[in-house]
Amino acid sequence: MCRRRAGLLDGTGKGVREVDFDFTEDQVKFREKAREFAEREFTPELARMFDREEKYPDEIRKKAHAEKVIDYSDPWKVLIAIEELCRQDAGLGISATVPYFGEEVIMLFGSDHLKEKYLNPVNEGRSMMGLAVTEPGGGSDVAGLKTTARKEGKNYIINGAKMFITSGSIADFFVMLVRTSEEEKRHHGLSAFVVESGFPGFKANKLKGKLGVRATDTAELELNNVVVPEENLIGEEGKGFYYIMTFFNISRIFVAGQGIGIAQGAFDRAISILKRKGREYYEKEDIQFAIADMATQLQAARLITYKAASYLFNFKPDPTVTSMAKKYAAETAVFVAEKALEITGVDGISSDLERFYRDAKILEIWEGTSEVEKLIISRNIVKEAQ
Amino acid sequence: MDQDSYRMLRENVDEFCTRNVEPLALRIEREGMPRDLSAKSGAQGFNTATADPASGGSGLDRESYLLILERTARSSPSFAMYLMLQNSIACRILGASGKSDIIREIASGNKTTTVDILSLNESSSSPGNITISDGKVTGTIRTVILPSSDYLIFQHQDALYLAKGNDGIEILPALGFRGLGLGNVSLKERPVEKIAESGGAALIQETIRNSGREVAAMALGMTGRSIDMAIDYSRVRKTFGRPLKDYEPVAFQLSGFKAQEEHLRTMVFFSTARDEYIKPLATDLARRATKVALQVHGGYGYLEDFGVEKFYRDSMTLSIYFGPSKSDMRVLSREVYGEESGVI
Ligand SMILES: Cc1cc2nc3c(=O)[nH]c(=O)nc-3n(C[C@H](O)[C@H](O)[C@H](O)COP(=O)(O)OP(=O)(O)OC[C@H]3O[C@@H](n4cnc5c(N)ncnc54)[C@H](O)[C@@H]3O)c2cc1C
Repeated sequence: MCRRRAGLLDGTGKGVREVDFDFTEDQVKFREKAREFAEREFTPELARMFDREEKYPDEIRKKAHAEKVIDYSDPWKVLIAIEELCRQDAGLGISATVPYFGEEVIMLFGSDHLKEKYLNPVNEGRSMMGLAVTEPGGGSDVAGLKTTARKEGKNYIINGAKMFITSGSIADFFVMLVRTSEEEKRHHGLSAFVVESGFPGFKANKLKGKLGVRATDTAELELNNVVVPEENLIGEEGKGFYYIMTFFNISRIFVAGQGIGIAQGAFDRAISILKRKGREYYEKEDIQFAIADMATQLQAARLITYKAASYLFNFKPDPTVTSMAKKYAAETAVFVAEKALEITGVDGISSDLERFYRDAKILEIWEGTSEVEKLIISRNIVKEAQ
Repeated sequence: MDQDSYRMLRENVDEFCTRNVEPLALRIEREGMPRDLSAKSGAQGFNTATADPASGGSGLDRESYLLILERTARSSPSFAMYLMLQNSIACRILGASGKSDIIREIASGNKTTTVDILSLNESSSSPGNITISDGKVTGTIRTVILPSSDYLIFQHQDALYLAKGNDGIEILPALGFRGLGLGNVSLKERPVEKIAESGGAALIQETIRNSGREVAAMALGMTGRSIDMAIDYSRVRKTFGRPLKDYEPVAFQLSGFKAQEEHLRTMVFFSTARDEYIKPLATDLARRATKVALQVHGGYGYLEDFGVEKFYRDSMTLSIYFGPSKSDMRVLSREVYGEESGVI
C-alpha cells in the first residue's frame, strides 16, 4: 500500500467521517500509465491542431480504449485517468473519456436488454454514447424541459430539441430526458430513454466556435416525431428526473477531476515557463505568493474531490460534498489558469497556457453551473440542519 | 470635453460601429480585420485620430480619441486595438521620427503598421534574434501583434528601425484580439530604414506608458458592452419560471458592475487623476465583469456566436499586453512612497 492518507475530519456537522484516500500500488501505477499515455499521444502540435480545427480526435479515442486508459472496473482509475488526461490537454482528454458519458444511467437503472444492446458495444469501444438533458430553453432548470414523448402502441414518439449535447453529432445513441406527462408535478413527469442517432426524425447540428474544449463535439439535436421502442425506456416512466440527478451526483466528481487536471496542467506549465525565465524573475515575492496561492487552492480542490469520491466509491454518496467538489474544482481550474497567465505574461499567453484558460471556463457551466451547485449545497445544508 | 460634444461624438461613433463594425464583429474574430474596414475608419479619421493634421492626422483631442476607443471596443475589441496600435503607438513613433508619409498611408487605411511592443514587456523572455548589416535585417521578431502589417517598427541595440513587409509569419495561438493575430515575423535580408539612432526601446516604452488612459477606455468599452449584454439577456432568459434578473446574485452583480462602469467612465473622461491610477482599476474591472457576463449567458456564453466570450478573452489579453505591468506598479509605488519600492 502506498500511504497517501489525508486524514481529514468531516466538517459538515453530521459526525466525524474519516476519509480514506489511500491509493493502492496498482492505482499509483495506473496514474503513471495514464500520464505516459497523455504525454505520448497528446502532443502540443496535435492539441493545437484539434483545438484550431474543432475536430473530434477519434483515433485518440480508439487508442485510449485499446490501451485501457479508461478502466471502469475501478472508479478511482476513471478519476485518475480524467485528471491525468486533462492535465495534458482538456480538449483531447475529455474527448477520450466522453464516449462513455451517461453510461451509469443505464448501468444503474436500465434493463438487461438495454445494457447488453447498448452498453456492451460502448465498453468494447465499438460505439459512443451521450447524455441529452439541456434544451434551447434551459439547462439549469432540468424539471422545466419541454421535449415530449407520447406513447403510441408499443412506441414512444419524441418531439422537441436538445442543446449543447456533447458528442451530439458523432454518438450512436443518447440517454435522453424527456417529458412523458404534463399532469404530474414538473419533475415527476420526466422519463429517460435510449434514443439512437440513426432513428428517423433525429437530426444533429454541430455547434462550432466554442471558447474551449474545442476537440469535443457539441451539437444541437432536433427531434421530429422520433419513434422510440418502449423497451428503450430506462427504468420506470416518471422516474427520469431522479435517475439523472443520481447520475449527476456521480458525474460531478469526474467533472471535479477535469478541474484538478486542468488546474494541475496550467500550474505545471506556469512553473516550467517561470523556471525558463530564471531566478531573477520567479524569486520576486509577487510571483512566489501567486505560486503559493495556486498550489494551495489546487491541493484543497484535490482533497475535497477525493473526499467526495471516497464517499461515492464506498457507496455512501454525499451530494452536498459532491457539489462542493465540483464547484470548487471548477473555480480552481479557472483561478489557476488565470493566475498562470498573470505570472507568465507574454510568454504564457503566447503558449499553450492560453488554451487552458479557455478550456477551464466550461467547468463552471456544464453539469450544473456554479450557481446551481451553490443552490444545492445551501439547500441541503439548511435542510439537514432543521 | 463638455457633455454635449461628448454625446454628439458618441452618437457618431456608435452609428459608424452599428453600420460598419457590428455586422463584421464575428468575421473579424475568425478571419481578421478586413481591409475595407480600415479604409472606412480611415475616411472617418479614426486611424490617425490624434496625429498632427500637417502629417495626415485628424488632430482630434484626447477625449475624442478615448471615446472612439471606448465605443469601438464595445463592438469589436480587436478593431479598437487596431486603432490604438495605429494611433497611440505607431503614429506617435512615426511622428517623432518624421515619417509623415507613412502616417498618411495609415490615415487612408491602405497600409497598416505594427510595432514590436511585446518583446519589451518585462514578462517576455523572447527578444527574437535579429542581425542588421548593410541596411538589411535577418532573423525573427517574436510575439508581434498584427504581424501581417505592411510596416514593422522594432528596436535593435537601442536604435529604431522600420521594415516594409516580411518573409514569413509563424502564427501563434492568440487568446485575444484575434482580429489582429499574434505571430513571429521572419525577415531575410530585408532592407530596413533606421528611423532613430538611439533611445528606441525607451521611446516604445514611453508610448506604451502614455497610453494608460487609452487602455482604460478600451477596458471600459468591453466592460460596458458585456454587462449590457448580460443585463439584456437576464431580462428575457427564464429559469425555474422566473427571469434571471429576479435572482439577487444576478441582479446585484450586474447592477454593481454597471455602477462601477459609470464610475470608471467618469475617471476615464472627466477626472484629472493620472493614468497610472486609472489603468489598474480599468483592466481589473474588465476582467471581473466580462467573466460574470459570460457566466450569466450559461452555455450560450461559451459560444462565439453570442459575442460575449470574446470580451472574456480580450480583457485578459489586454491586461497581459498593456498591464498594469510590474514596471507600471513600480512607478506607482515609487510615487506613493516617494522612493524606490516593491523591488523584492
Ligand atoms: C460545451 C458544452 C457542452 C455541454 N454538454 C452537455 C451535454 O452533453 N448534455 C447536456 O444535457 N447538457 C450539456 N451542456 C449544457 C450545460 O449543462 C448547460 O449549459 C448548463 O447546465 C447551463 O444551462 P443553460 O446554458 O441553459 O443556462 P441557464 O440555465 O439559462 O442559466 C444561465 C445563467 O443563469 C444562472 N442561473 C440560473 N438559475 C439561477 C438562479 N436561480 N440563481 C442564480 N443564477 C441562476 C446560471 O447559473 C447561469 O449562469 C453543455 C454545455 C456546453 C457549453
